[in-house]
Amino acid sequence: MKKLNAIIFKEWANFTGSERGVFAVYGVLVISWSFLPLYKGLGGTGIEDIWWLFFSVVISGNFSNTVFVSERLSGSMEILLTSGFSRDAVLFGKSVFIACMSICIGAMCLGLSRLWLTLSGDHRGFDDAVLSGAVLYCAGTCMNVAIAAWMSVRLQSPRLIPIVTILMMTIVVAGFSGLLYFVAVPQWSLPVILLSMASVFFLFARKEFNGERIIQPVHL
Amino acid sequence: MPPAIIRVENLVKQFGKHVVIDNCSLHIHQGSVFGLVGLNGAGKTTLIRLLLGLLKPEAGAVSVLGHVPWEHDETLYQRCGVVLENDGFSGNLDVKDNLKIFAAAKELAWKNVEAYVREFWAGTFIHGEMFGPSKKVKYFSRGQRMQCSLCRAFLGWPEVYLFDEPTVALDVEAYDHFCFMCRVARSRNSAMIISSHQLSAIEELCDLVAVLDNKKLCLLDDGSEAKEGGPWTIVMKNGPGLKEIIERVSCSVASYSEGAWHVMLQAPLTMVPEIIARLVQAGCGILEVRPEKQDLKCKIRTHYEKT
Repeated sequence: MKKLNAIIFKEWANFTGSERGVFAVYGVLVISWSFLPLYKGLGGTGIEDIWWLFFSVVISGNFSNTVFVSERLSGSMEILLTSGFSRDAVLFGKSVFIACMSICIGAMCLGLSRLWLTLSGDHRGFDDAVLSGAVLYCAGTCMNVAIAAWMSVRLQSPRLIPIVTILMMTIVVAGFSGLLYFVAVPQWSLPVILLSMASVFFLFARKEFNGERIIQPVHL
Repeated sequence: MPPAIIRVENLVKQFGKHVVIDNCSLHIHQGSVFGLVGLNGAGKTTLIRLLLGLLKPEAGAVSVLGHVPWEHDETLYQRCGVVLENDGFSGNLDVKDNLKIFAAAKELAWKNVEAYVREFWAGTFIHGEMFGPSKKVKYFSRGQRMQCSLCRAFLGWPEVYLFDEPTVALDVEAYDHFCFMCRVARSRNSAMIISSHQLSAIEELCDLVAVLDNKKLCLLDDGSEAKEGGPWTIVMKNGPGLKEIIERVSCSVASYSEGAWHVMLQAPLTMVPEIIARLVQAGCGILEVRPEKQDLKCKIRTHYEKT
């Protein structure tokens, strides 16, 4: 657990030490995305607040690039793996950091979107729809992180990670939407599907982290 | 002889169809420093990666401190000091925060890390960065980053050191400090592998040198050369007519420099006392007898000429 914390601290300190421009980009992203919930009724598919899932792809994709990919690009992963950290601590420490940061940014975005609604005279506050959107976002984030962890080792060209992540997310959402059209599936089953897939992708990522490929050079 | 803490038996490593290391064996004992040399692409880094469990051998066995590296036991890595091509530091953090992370990996108390830097890195820029105003590692020069890597490698005084090009970009002072740290580590009975193209470092620090050539490890210098067959340099006082006497007794050509006669003797160790006794009997005043090691560069050249 201590080592997991050390990895999380490393990533946190590295993030907070970034150039100011990085924070500005995240700020703009959060503010602009927080206006999307003002447009209600993406329905038709029956899935409310589906935009959360794609926001999670954008945010976790950004963090995955700095946390997983840059380490492999610079070649510093092999030092991390031979310094006394277990490979699981490295994988899960990085994953937990990305998930936490994505969820924090999601929460900020959610808070702002509610603020805009309140300012526009809609006083619903944090109702069930918000809660389901938040759960969906968290589950989506977990799947994105797991895919990024796996693909950061698997792919020779890590710039494809966001594309693969969005592809996977699209397949899941499209499949679920199709299923909803024909069968009455409870809405909570989508987060469950996402979390189950995250577990499977984490198993793949774990296998890759224990293999030789983790130290192979990658190029953008 | 102390036990071998690094054991490699009939190691084979290939990438696809390309064999990089073929049937190599190696035993490194406590307190010994092993130098690894070879041409670019010979497989030195691959060998070090195999010893660290970053690569899996196709055949053969590797054991470091009784662990199989490929099993990735974190307790093994806590007992190893490593310098690889990349320093592995987070550029946005200062030295102190970076060392905190690696100290956590080795389960070292922070006060011990501070004491280590105070004691062994005093007078270096690392000491200043640790206890004074600091800057992010990304603003360091290459040599400074290498010093940080070395500081991290010796952290906690591990039992095994695996160094891949540890002297790259080091200035004279940093190089001397690295040699000093290696000697301290050696005095603590640690085993060390140094892979480097800087032959002076290998010569200065290693008591066992091998060249990785044509997928095989060939031992160049096991330190026994001087003990077995010389050459030996005997330095003698100057005196009238001594040159002829020295040359007659030692059967070697004598040269005069810095106020003394020098003779290079190619003789087995058992013969040396007898020759010295004969020289003394003939009236030569012996100032110094020392084993002369053949230049490592020459040995490597000779090796490649033979192969």
